[in-house]
Amino acid sequence: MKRSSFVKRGLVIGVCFGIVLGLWASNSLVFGHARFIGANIENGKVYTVAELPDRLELMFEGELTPRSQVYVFSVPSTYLVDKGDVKIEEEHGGGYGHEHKSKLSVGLNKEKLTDGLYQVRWIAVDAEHGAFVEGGFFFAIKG
Amino acid sequence: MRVRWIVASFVILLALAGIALGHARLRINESVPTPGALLAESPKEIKLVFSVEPGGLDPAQSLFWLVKQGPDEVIAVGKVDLSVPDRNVMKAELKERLSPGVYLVHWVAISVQDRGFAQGSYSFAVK
Repeated sequence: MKRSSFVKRGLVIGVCFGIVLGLWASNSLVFGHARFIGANIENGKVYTVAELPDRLELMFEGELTPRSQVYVFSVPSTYLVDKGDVKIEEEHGGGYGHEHKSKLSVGLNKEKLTDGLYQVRWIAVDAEHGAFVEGGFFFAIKG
Repeated sequence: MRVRWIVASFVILLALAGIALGHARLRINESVPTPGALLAESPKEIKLVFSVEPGGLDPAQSLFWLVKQGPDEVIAVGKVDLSVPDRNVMKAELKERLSPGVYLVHWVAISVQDRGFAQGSYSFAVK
């Protein structure tokens, strides 16, 4: 009787340990790669030139390498309207991987911004695994 | 029925156009390895030759990324070859042999003259 209770307890502890280990591993996988969190220009929003920030800032979870890039161009004519001065700044949360954030930014050439549609394209290369992640969004200018 | 075929053809054309989008006067002319190549040996370099206006490609922002598919890991980054006077070539020398697998070359080209933007990608494989 005592022996079976001991075995049961061992099984419960083993299963719990497995679940915790599994969750930890899955979190490591998810947060090990750079993940886009948001930007100071909103996807799909219509702005006036005055409302736009001087720099487009994209926030990512994880650390980025200088191989990362961001472009802003007009659509459909595809002329660049950014200044090409891409910067990557790290923000350490003081905790584990998922608290480490990176800011990928580029200056906007406001003299070139006229009414129309614009696309942001970014390429993020994460420092930990060299993983390649790309994405983008659109915004518009009116007035 | 005929309308469906026209719509379907338009969608297919749009999908094909997605392979390389951007500035009309900025396009890829030649690439090594070629798109869809199945190589018996690892290439020593990746080279893209562009058709571009006088002034060439902007070396600061024109780049390509060689990505190993599967883990989607960046193996190398190609830059404008400054030794070419026309500045129309992007190149990456591969210091290490590529392991067998499928590779994606994702490129972005910016022209110096008018800041035109173009991007595209293609794949090749190493046996």
